[in-house]
Amino acid sequence: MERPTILVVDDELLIRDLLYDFFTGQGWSIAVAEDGDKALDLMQSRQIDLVLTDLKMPNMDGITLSTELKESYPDLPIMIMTAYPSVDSAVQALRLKLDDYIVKPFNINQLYKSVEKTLRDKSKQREVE
Amino acid sequence: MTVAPTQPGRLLLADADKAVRDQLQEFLTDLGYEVDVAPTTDDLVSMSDCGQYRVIVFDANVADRPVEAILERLLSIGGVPGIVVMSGEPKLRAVLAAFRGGAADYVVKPFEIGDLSDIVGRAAQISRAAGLIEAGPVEVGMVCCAARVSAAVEK
Repeated sequence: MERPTILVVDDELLIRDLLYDFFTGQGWSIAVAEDGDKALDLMQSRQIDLVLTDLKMPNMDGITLSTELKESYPDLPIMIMTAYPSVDSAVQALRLKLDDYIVKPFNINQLYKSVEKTLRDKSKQREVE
Repeated sequence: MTVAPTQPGRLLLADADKAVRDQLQEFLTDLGYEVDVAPTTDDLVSMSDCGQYRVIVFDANVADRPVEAILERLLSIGGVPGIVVMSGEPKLRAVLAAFRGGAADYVVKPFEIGDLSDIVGRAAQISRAAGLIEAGPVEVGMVCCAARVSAAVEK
């Protein structure tokens, strides 16, 4: 897989920094946004291969952001993270065909595997199409 | 947005509770689906073996085995049904397992029966998009399924 670009959207600086450091350490390119509006702006200016967004954020939650992203970028892989998991939000997220629902605190190696697998699956899907 | 099935097709409904089965069967039949019912997991698996259903709706609690195992079995049969899982005692792990296992949707009971129209309509579209047979099962399948449906109805 070529060097993918991941957009991390989270209002917590600690999580943004953690994921930035980890994924850049893997040789990946990372963009970060602290809220949904900034994420949407970034999508206009950069080529993003996958979005990893927090669920509970001020102004725009992760489900609303994902809904908007799916409208403009239907094939974009999106994974949602949350420290407040619930059956309702999981059903909402997965009904939107998001690629994963990750409960915080997460094991970063498992998160990496999940992101890598999602990117690989999407790439195969594109080849088939 | 209401998702109206253009050609509803056959639907298999599995729930251990007869009152729920009867109510949902009546509702879905009124929507135009040809509904078969299964009261147990064994019936669900056996009846779905012919691969003739466009949509399968089952209660996770009808199952005496993990939902992911049932999904794997149902999706391995051929045809590509849209599968909707229902549960009155939903757990996050089970919801994630259901979607990761290929379910088209997950419905938490109690629900407004009218909501099922859109949910099942979407599942039918998924199955159609995935290339499920449009014209119905082959004749041999019809015979084997007819026998299994009769056996389940008699229970």
